[in-house]
Amino acid sequence: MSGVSRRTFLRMAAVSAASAAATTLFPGIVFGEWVHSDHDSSDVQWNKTPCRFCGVGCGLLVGIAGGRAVAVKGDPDSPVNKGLCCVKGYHSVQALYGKDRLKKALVRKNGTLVETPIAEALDLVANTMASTIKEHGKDAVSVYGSGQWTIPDGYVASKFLKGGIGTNNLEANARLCMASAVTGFLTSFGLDEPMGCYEDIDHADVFVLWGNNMAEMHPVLFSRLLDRRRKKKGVVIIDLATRTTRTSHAADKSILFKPQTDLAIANAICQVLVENNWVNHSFVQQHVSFKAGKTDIGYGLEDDFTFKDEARAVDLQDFQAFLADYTPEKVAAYSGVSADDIRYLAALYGDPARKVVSYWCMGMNQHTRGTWINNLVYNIHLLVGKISQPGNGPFSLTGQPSACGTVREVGTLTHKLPHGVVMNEDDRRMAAEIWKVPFERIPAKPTHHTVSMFRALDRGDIRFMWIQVTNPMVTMPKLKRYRDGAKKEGRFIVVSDVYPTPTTDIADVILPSAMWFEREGMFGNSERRTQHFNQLVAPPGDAMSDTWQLIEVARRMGYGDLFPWSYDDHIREIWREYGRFHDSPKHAMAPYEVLRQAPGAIWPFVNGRSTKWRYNAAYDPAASPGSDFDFYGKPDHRAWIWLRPYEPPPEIPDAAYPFWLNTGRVVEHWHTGSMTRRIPTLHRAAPAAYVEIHPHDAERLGIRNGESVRLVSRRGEIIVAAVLDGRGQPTVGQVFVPFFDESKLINELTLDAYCPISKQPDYKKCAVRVEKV
Amino acid sequence: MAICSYIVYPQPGSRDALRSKLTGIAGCDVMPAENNDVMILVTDTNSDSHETAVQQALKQIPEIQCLALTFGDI
Repeated sequence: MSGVSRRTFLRMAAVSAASAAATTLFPGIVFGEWVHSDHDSSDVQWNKTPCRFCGVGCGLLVGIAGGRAVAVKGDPDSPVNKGLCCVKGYHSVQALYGKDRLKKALVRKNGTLVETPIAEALDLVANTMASTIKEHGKDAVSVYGSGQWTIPDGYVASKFLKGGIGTNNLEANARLCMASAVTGFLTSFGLDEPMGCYEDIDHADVFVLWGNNMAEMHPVLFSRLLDRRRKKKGVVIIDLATRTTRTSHAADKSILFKPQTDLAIANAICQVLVENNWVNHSFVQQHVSFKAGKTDIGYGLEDDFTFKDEARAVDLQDFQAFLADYTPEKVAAYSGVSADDIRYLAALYGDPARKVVSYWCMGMNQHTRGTWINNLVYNIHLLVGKISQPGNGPFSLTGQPSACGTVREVGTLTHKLPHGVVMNEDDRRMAAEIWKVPFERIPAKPTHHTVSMFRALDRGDIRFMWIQVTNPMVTMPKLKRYRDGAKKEGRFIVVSDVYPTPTTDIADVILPSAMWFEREGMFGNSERRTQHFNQLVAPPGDAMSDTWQLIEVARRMGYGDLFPWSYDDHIREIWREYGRFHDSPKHAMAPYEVLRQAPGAIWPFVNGRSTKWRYNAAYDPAASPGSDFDFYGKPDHRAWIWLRPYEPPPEIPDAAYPFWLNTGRVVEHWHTGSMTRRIPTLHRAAPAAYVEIHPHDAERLGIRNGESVRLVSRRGEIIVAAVLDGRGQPTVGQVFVPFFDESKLINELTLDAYCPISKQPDYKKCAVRVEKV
Repeated sequence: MAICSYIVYPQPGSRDALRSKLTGIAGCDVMPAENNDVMILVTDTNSDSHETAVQQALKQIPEIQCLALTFGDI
């Protein structure tokens, strides 16, 4: 007992006694982390911040002592997580203190990165950007950001690029994770982002998870699903996926489908709904239009690929005829899902007594028909009128902490503006007026989406790229082409980051960034909740926020009049200026002062209140009074049901490459692992990437658990350890590899095919071969 | 100077509010169950007056349905 005081011993005994009593009363009871008295440690100051390690947006309380983040706990006042965190959240603050944190600017001189004063590095960035524009034109420079950008980061990048320089060469990695959700929302509803909120969980009876390993990717939200099921009899969770995961094991029913056939399954559910007359005809007649688009739309594999969809009006009868190809029996033949299971799913959606929420994330979005599958799940909810009500609705989850707040709402994509799109003259005029720039300066034509931007860098159409808060030399599909392109002579790459990565390896200039609450900012999560965080600790060395880096370079290039703010007030002033873009009941943002105090606010924020359910007149101030629902995003005030067929992916396993390759994340690591792999506990828990392989395939190939195997696609190969019966179990003929490990770059193998509408690549399906090493 | 532990039963639907109130009392630590509404409360007071204040504070929390003493003497 040495080292344990009498008092500590008594406390331990007290806890043991209570725990033993509770176990007797409630067999199987499990206790979580201690929530300590706020008054225990007077030297620790607790401050609120949203977590930055996924799109759920959990509220954290970070303990600061001696100018350092020393502790973290879930914020019990946060309606998102109600005091709970996942393993990343509980360890999150350690990510600030990795040994190899970038603290000084580095400039490549004669092939070697040399420590350089930050002002000199910023001079070089500004001078090179200016000289590139002078020599090659303004569309030869680009900025590539992230859904981990704060809202001010993205806003300043947009204003600098589009309002200052006058180029639409602005993209963000959310193109790789959320673009299909955006185009799905826009094509079905005319406005982006979910109509509901996390509170739907507290009202729903059925949760259908479409290709979404929520137990690992959104664990805190998943715990709320489990809690709902525990508290209400009859609540069911359905896991509809291509591989068995921890989510499958926790679900009431696991349904496995063959890759890409989710399109057919969604149509088959609609077919059963129509055939059984489970359609909510009143809702459909009042609130729905039917549209057909182009088919056989390609995969974006060619550099000069273009596509523009066209909506053609059709009606319910046309829809019914279209669905004739999607009877449960026909779809069962190629989806791998039995007709009974399809009818079971349809019965859940069609039962008027049950409230249903559908959740999805990358499984549907990283899909060569990503927009279509988003449309098709909306179709199901619209047919039965289960939408925009507490406990009823389709809900696209986000991967990153501010994919919604920054990339989608600020609009850091080539075609977007903080309000609307560059193609719309009114939207350009609004931006020009607020930014006080000549209207003509904002180009009306989008330039490059992400894959196109890196192809342009490879070809030499783009000569300068500034990458912030993202790691594309790990995440780009068909990676070798884009890495080789970025390293070509005549390219200049600037990377702002907090740690060395494969992307900083190719940089000409590395700028050290302030991370998370080392600066003030805001994130916007999946449920339209904007959350503010203060600067809580000082950034190390010369590290500077991405917002301020952009402002410093813009000022050096002569755009200082666009950024007149002082360092002390720039976040508040940016928020106020940005708020002018959304000054309407459809998208009003909460005032800065509210955000500083509250654990976030959901937009539209009107008359001091968050709007939890859009398009529902009982909750949404933008909906027409007197109506029940008003889908005001579309000119006809109706949501659109789309006729979207099943079409196969561009690359299917064959004799030479007989396995499907699926990629994704694990609960311990955030994206490419550049931060979480520097947290010892998380790194030890998941130290290296691996390939999950079905035991039958392993036996056939003579592969044992833990042995190295070579994975080969038409684009590249890697060697990884095989895992049989691990946390995930792929089906026969499929393998899965997580992408967090920079020493095992799975994207050397993936294909850069994308959804022609959203331009989002498909990381879930390509063909590989497995060889025993 | 007492150290006590309790199993705390919240009123239905008031678990989060109760946890928040308990952790707002000096000397109180709470360990919520992950799969049940109950929670463990440990009170660690440094004087008789502190102990009295904690007891008074607990009595004034309407979200407590039942407080079952499992360790200590009050």
